[in-house]
Amino acid sequence: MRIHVIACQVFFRPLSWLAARSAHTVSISWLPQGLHDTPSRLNQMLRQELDRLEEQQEKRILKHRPQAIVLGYGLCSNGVVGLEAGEVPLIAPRTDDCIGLLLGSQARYLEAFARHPGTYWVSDGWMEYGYVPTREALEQRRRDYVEQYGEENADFLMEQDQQWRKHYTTVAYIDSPLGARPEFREAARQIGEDQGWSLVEYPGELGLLERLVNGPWEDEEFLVCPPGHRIIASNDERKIAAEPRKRSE
Amino acid sequence: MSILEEISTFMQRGRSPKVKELVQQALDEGISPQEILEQGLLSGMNVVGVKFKNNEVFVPEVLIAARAMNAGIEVLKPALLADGVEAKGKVVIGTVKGDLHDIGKNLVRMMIEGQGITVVDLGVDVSPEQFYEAAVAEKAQVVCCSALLTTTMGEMKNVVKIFEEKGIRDQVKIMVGGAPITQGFCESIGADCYAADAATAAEAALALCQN
Repeated sequence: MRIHVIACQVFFRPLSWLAARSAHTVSISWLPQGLHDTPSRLNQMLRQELDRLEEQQEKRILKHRPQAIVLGYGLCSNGVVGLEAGEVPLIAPRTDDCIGLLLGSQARYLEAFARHPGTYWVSDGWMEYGYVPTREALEQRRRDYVEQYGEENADFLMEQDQQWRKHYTTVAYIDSPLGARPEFREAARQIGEDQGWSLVEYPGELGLLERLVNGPWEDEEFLVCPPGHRIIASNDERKIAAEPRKRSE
Repeated sequence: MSILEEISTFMQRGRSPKVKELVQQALDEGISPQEILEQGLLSGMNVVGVKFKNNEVFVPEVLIAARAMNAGIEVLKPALLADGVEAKGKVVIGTVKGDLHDIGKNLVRMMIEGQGITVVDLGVDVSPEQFYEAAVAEKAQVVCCSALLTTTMGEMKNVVKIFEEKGIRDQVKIMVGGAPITQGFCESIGADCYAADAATAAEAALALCQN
């Protein structure tokens, strides 16, 4: 089977590894990490990527059509809502975000969330591609605020930024099942020390990502959005559902 | 440029000290506090609200403008009270259980206060029971629930539910907002009002209080 994955760069190493070992023919397009902060932009970039694939098929630039398109994204602040399956099914995992995917199940994420709601999650992919709130990064942010909004407003804005950090208690480090990276674990520990959070470690699990790449896409874990349908938020624990695309569109 | 326009302009740039100074100057010139509030501060905030909706400015700009607006209102308050201007209503606000992110909630609070409404801020991680108890104790007309995470937005349903169970659902309006919240979600849980941004939330709160 030919499978095309559109994924967040946070999964670069595990998904690349799984794709390399897959029995299927897998291709992957990567989008930058951090788009969940601006869900409308995430949504727009996913649409553009789907359109690009469609266009390349129409113009026969792609030698082979994928038989399924898989999203390496959770609900991600509704970033996947409204995406439409074109000629082939569009598959998406029923998770809130990358944390459930990296931990190997949404249930595991929800258990951890219930234990420590104020948790800052980091993983190797997050450390490599994302924003990490190191002391230097925070100092840089203050300098940016001074430059843009003046000294008088900078402390107020930093204080607003800090509010949630004060409510947080924990930094959770998800290690990689592909091999330990002590420098990332150390960086997580340092974040905890700088922010006054305790460090909790979770083992990363490849199972859910493996099923994402290779299937089977069982309904419990994945939405298979059929051609002519689009993804909607289900507003319940299943996270997403499919509905027929409106005729006029 | 008239002094009210100047107040509006400096407020939009988030220049709190300058706004305070100009508001005092306007009062000294004999302009009514109501006029300063509406023509200077609120009109400036409306401009910022529209720019935010159009992605011309972002959260920091709105935060510093709201801060400048409230700085101006602080100066106006004694004069407004002396004129017998009463609070236009009361709302309780908080982030839902499990959600500790309050930048958006704080911004909405500042904007609602700017409308002359009393805001009781319950902070973060507020349980349905706490929303209910505060709304009853404060005789609030509106309950505002905020969530940033898709993991916590479901708690809003429990807030609606507790008001139903206690039999006072018809006595309060429930407003919901936050990054993952949509109109469809608002309807699906039986809340009364979805606000997409802080300016809309403030307008909606005013309308709900006056009903």
